[in-house]
Amino acid sequence: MIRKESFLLQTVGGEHLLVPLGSQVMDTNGIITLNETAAFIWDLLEEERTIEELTTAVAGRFEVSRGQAESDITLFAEKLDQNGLLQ
Amino acid sequence: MKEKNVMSPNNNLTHLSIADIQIDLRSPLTVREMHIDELLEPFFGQPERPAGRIQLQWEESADILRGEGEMVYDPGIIWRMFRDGETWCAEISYGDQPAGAGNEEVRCLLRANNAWDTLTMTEKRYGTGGWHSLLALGAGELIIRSAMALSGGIVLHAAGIDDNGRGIVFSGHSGAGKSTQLDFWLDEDGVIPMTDDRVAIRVSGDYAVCYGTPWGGMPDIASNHAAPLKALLLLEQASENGISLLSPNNAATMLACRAFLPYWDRALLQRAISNLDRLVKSIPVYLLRCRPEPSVVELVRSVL
Repeated sequence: MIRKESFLLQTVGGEHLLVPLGSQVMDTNGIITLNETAAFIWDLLEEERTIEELTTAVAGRFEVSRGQAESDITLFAEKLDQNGLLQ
Repeated sequence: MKEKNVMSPNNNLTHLSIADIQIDLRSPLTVREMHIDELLEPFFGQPERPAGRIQLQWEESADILRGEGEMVYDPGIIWRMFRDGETWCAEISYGDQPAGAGNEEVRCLLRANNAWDTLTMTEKRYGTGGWHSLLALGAGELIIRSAMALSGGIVLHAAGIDDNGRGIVFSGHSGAGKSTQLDFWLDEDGVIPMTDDRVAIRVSGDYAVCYGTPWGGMPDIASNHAAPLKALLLLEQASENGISLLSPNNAATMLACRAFLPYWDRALLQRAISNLDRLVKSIPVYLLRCRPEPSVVELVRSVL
């Protein structure tokens, strides 16, 4: 999977905001907030990534078991897809 | 404050100062012929210390106007943004609905370079009495929105007052109670209203200044006035009055949704959001839950 380019991830006051750009604004329900892990994954999705690659990266960065990371990432990827945030 | 020089018989030069942005407007028409004096007269003149400077050439067209290049942003029925090579082109469809113009008819093209400091405004006039240049409306607002992002600031959907030297900004969506708040504060000594709907804010270090702008529901309130910003208040109607300080991260999302962000350009959007980040880190943001009653004034003053 790979993210759409029509978003800007920026940190404001410690909050990670995913802001739609251009024509994406009308297709997105406002500004999206991401937690630390989600923002980390969003950065990684600048390039094509598999769930396995993301799991390895997240388990290496955060204190989480590989199984839990994979489960959370799968759920997050589904949400990204449902909300039209992936290419 | 009013200053106007005639450069040539066919090109009047008028200086505008909005939120310390200087606009050098050149036009074959006078400000009276453009009908911008009603709304912009308080903003004629030059700022003492300009935070930005814009060259704007106004020209008239009898042709049908169409946005040029690829359409990149369409926020609704009023205007759309196009990208043509290195030029931004905003196509604005209506402003004050003059007689003879359909709502969907394009009335103005605003072309800008990447720095938003060299612009051309091409406008179509209708009739003789009812026409007003969109410079006093949406086109001017787009110019300032961009210029603020590039000069350390942002434009918020908010009302603003100067309470005895303390700038207070009430932000909220339509119907949140901005005008009601203004009414309460106008009865107080030493309060200067700045705007009922659009506040420009510029951050510099841990200091911010709020400015009145020409755009709002009550033009007589729009004043060319600035004050050091002491607090931002996010309005919420409630059955009981209460005020609470928000953490910067809680304030961030709420303010981002109330800001007029330049969604058409990644670089400009990045600048505007960085300015918002500096704003929430330097100025206290409160959530003000209140009933529509004057005692809110004392409640707000108690935390300043």
